[in-house]
Order: sequence, then C-alpha cells, then structure tokens
Amino acid sequence: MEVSRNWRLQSQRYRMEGLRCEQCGTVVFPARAHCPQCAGESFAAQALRGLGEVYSFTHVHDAPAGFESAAPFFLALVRLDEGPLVTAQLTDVEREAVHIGMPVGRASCVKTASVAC
Amino acid sequence: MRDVFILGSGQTAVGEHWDLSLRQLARAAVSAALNAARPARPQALFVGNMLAGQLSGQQQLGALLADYCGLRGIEAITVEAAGASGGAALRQAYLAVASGAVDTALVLGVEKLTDKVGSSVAAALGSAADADWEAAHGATQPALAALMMQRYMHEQHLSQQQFAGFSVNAHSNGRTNPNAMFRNNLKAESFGSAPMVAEPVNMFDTAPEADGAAALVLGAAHMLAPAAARIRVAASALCTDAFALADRADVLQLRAAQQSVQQAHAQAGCGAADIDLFELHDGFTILAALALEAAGYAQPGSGWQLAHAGKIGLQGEIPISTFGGLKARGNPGGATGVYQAVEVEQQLRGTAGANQVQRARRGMLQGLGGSGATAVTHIFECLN
Repeated sequence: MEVSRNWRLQSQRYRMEGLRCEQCGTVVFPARAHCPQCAGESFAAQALRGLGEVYSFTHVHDAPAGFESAAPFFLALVRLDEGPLVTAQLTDVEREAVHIGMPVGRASCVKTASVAC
Repeated sequence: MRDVFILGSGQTAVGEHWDLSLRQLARAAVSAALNAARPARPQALFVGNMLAGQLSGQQQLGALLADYCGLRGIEAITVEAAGASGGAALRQAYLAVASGAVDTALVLGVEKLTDKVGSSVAAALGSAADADWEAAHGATQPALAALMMQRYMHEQHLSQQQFAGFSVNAHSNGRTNPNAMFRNNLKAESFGSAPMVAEPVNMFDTAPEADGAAALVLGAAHMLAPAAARIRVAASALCTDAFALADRADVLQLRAAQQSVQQAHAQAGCGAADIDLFELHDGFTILAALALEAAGYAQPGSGWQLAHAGKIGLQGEIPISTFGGLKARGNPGGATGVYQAVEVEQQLRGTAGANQVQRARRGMLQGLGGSGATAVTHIFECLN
C-alpha cells in the first residue's frame, strides 16, 4: 500500500480509533461520515480495546499479490466487544485451534519485504 | 418510459483465449449480435468490463471498441461494478432506449483475464473488495465468500459437501453448452476432493476466471422486425448494500439482491413463482444459496436445500445456471452479466437446444459485485 495512504489510516489501523454516534450510540469502526444505523453525522471518539471473538474465518491458500509469502494465512471476521465487526488476519494461532467463538486480541505488526506477520 | 426489446445477440466461447486480444473478443461478439439484429444499427454502446485497466493496461474501452467494431462516432462508455458490470451495462442500455434518448443500444460485456496469471489476477479481482479494510489484509473474493460460507455452515450445522449440488448442476448444464469453459460432469462425491482456495471454498466450489465476450442489441418496439419474437425487458433494477462484508447488517443476507429482486418483481408485475428460470451469480456455491434466499425461493438459512436437480435442474422448480452458470460456463468478470442475458434470451426464444427449459416465458438474471455490495437484476419475458 502507498505510504501516504497508510499514513492517513494509521491512527485507525494501529490505535483502533473508532467513533460513537451521538444520536443513537452505535459504535462504528472504521470511521465513516454517516451512521449506518440512523444516518447521523455527529460522532464522538471511541477507543476500542481490541478484544473480541471470531465470528467467521477462512484459511487462505491462494494469496493475492503481496501476500504470497504469508500463505496460507487465516483471515477472519472478528466481533469486537464494543460491537463492530472487523476484517483481520489471525496470527500466532494453532491451525486446529481456530474456531468460531474463539477469543482474540489485537496485535499490531509490521510487514517487511522478508518477514510477514 | 417505453418498452424495450431484444433485437439480437452474440457470444464467444468462454475460456483461455491465448490467441485473441480483448478487442478481438469484443468484435467477435458484436459482429454476431449486429448480424442477428440486422438491419438495426446501434446508436450507443455500453461496455461492461471490470479489469482491463489493471490487467490489460487499457481504459476508455467505449471509444476503443466502438472504433474497432466499426461503430466509430457513436456514444460509447464503460460501465464498471465489479462482477455486476455486465448487468449494470445492460441497465444503462435499457435506460437509454426506455427513455427515448436512443432507439437502439448495444451492450457488450468483455473481459480478458488470462494475459496475467496467479496472484496478480487474484489481487486484481480482489479490488472489488474494500481496498483499505479488506484487501489490505489479504482478502480475496474467494476468501470473502469463504467467510460467508463458514458462518453459514456454522449456523445451519452443515458440511461443505452439502453445497455440492450447485456445482454438480452447473457442470451438468455446461456439458451441453458449446460456449462453456467446462463441459464435463462433476460427481458429487468428487466435490470435496479439490484443492483448497480459501477454506471451505475449494476449486470445485468456485467459478473459473476466463476470457469472453457477449453482446446484446436492445431497441424500441418499432425497431423489431415484423416477424421477430418479442422478447421484452420487463424489469431492470440495481441496488447497493454496505460495501465491506463486515459492515453488513447480516453477512448472510444479500440485501441488495433482495431489494433488486423486489423492485424487479414489481416492475414486471410478477412474483417469484412466475419466473421460469433464474441465471444467478454462482461464482461460489454460497452465493447461489444466498441468492435463492434473497429472491424468495427459500427461507434464510435454507437455500442450500435447493441444491439438487429436482429443485434447480432444467426440469426443476426453479432452474438455475441453465447453460452452466459462472461455475461451468465460466466467469469472464464484467462480461458475465451479458452472457446471462444472452442465455435467458435463448431460453425465451426456445433456441436453447439441449439446455432448453420447457415453456420458458419469463427469465430472471442477476449479477453481484464483489461480495454483494452491488446487485443488478433483470427480468425478460416473451410476448409471443
């Protein structure tokens, strides 16, 4: 991903800064301009703890360009404790242990040319 | 809005056309369609394409293909909505004729996927997903389908094998389609043995990426030849949903598909039971199950139960993928929706040969963009 694009997203991506709709209380992540529940446009910052559980998962064998060295890898939908569903990779897990309902926590990681997280 | 009719169509075989370029594929389908629609000539061209910019380094397909197909000078643009591009282009052509802006319009779906291979094609197809929040984590189209399928299997207590019937049906119908990429039978017991793409989605669960082009000429009533069959576009509807899968109210509900079908039924003045065949977007078996649920043929969570011949076969209650669908005819990206349109037209004209659905009067076709953020649904009906 381009440097500027990553830079724009860094506070959301690495600090998991979400939003709470001031009209209906829905917690939103990633940030957006309109509440998906009530279309409200007024939000307060909402820090997310980065804890949740696996809502669904897949073990990706055919990786897209840029992810070949990581394959196979786990991709999941994670239901955060605060409510939002997020798309994320699962790392540092035993293959047989991954299941729907599995508790997970956030781990930021850095991918370089030679080391994939 | 005035009535819109199908004047003629054409298609190339779907497959790995190493010897043909994007423009040559396009011209083959356009020539056949213009020949079938003679003497009508199109006043506008709408091109459905998904990835020419990424995989062929070619944009501005409207002007390129109008020029190459002998139509230099006419209005021509590209319409892009990922896997729904073909259906979206069809809708723009429909609107152009229905509004009275033009009397005839050409819809062309064309995709050239095989000039690049492997991970670069997977990444290009993955651009239908959210680049910042899905693809950035390595999500591909099969991976997003797998997330839906895994959750569906969990909630309904199913195994992957229970989706086999969708692929078996598609291959059975593709066997007798001369334009299909796969013309071999698939045994249900073989379904689970294919290599994994993104678990639980395997090679026999997913549609093959391929090259292809299909074209359709639409026209107002007065453009129809006196003795021609009157195949009318009875409905055209396109809806959108939350873009990323994680942002959907329910990841197992294709809400855009559901809404577009409801709108299409209302436009055509019919219900689910009045549709004689349904060309749905079976890029993955889970999408076939969810599309059947969204279209009212099954309750949420039970669409998988239709996956056998008595329900979805050519003589079944709601025939789907009658020429092989995406799974066996092949999935040429932005061309797929136009293939579906040509196939429904053939069914309604009664020229489907061994793939004919008996007494077909109304056919529905539906394209999905990505994991379902765009859904475009059309209904054609034969007035003869």
